[in-house]
Amino acid sequence: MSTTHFCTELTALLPRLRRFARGLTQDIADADDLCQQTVERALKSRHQWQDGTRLDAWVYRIMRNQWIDEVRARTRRSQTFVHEDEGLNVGTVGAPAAESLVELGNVERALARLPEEQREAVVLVMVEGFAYKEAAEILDIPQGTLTSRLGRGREALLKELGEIA
Amino acid sequence: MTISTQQLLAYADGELDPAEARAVEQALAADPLLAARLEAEQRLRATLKGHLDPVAHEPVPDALSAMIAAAMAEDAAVPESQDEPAANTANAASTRASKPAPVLDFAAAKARREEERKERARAKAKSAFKLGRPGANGLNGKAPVRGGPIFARPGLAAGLAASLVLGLMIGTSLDLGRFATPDADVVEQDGRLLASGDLAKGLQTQLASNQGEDAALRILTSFRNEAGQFCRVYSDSASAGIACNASGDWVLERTMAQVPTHGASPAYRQAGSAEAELMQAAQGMAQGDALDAEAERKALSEGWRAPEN
Repeated sequence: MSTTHFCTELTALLPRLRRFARGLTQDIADADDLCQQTVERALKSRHQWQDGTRLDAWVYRIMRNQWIDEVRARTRRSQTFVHEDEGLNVGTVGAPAAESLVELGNVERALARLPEEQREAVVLVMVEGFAYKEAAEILDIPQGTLTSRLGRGREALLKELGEIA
Repeated sequence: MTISTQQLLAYADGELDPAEARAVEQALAADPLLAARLEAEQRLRATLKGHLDPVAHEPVPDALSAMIAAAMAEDAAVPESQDEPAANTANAASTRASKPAPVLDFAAAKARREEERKERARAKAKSAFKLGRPGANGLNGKAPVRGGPIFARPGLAAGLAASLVLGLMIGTSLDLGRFATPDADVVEQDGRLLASGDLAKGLQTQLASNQGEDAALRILTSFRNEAGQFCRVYSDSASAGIACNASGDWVLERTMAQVPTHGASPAYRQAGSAEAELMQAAQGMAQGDALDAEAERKALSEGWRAPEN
């Protein structure tokens, strides 16, 4: 396939990629950095992509692995740093309507509190709309592991956001 | 039937096949609690999407699109593209300018040919020079055998390219067999090289100031050395040298073999470096100026004997 086709498809994917990045990072700046690194890496490996396979799953996987690397590096760098309530301080960006301000903050906080492995499963399936099989492939885990993480993540979110959800 | 949470979630996620989905729907209709749980799942989904979907509707930063566009242009780039956008005309112009002009190529090729020609000439002179100095730098690295050429300046070789090759010798123990002409005019006697035959006759009878154009032997000059002996610089087709008269014998002080190169007639004579070299040597040996025509005639008439003084 021509790389022109690849580039056109990748460009069309950018809005979704930015959404996934925000879901993974829960931070605007981190999401932008992650997007840029992902696109760079995808372009660098564009000749390795096999035509006939889903480009979105391929790029999501690149992004997710990139983010995992970043999370691990940060954990090593600052073991004493606790982000427990960081979610309370974000969510004001984008100037949402006044009545939804608290709600958005809560959702971000709830998502941020999820373990990384649960959050990525929840976001991939519930927000990005991937089937179990596809999500499991992106995360490189068995489908049973995916549904297990997905279930626990949902449970935690419902508990956190019960009065809203 | 009992529906597990996992089945309910799978139903909510659209992961069940039609038969399974129908079973879940029947259970939902019969179980309000189960229906409430599904509703909670659907609200959660809506909340999450409501939180994140707006990001997908934000304008994409130009930097991201530009990166992809640059990669696409890179892949599509065709060398020698003639219809580049105006923004790239400067680039295109410099690309054209940096292309080696044909003239440069020709010049380079010419220089290369010239270099090869010189290389061949050097190799030729070198091998010819070797011919002229057998025994020197033997295979086993021994010093030149006694009697071999004792000096041969490297710079000389270049000047000898055409027809002359020097084996410049001095002393009394020459192995003349190497370059002697068939009718050798040189003999060894008491450790000295003496002219004989036509060479001795020519040295004895010819005048530098008066000799035929077609003479086999040419006398270049005549002088007296420090011992007062009469000496003569001579040259013929086979050799050239300096001979000094000692008690009636012409002793060869220096000789140089003249080895014609391939294809050159033995008679072909080139007043070249060999003679120049000898003339220079003569100058070093001479006491006073070279003999003029009258002095030469006088010396000849007196049999080249060194005057008592």
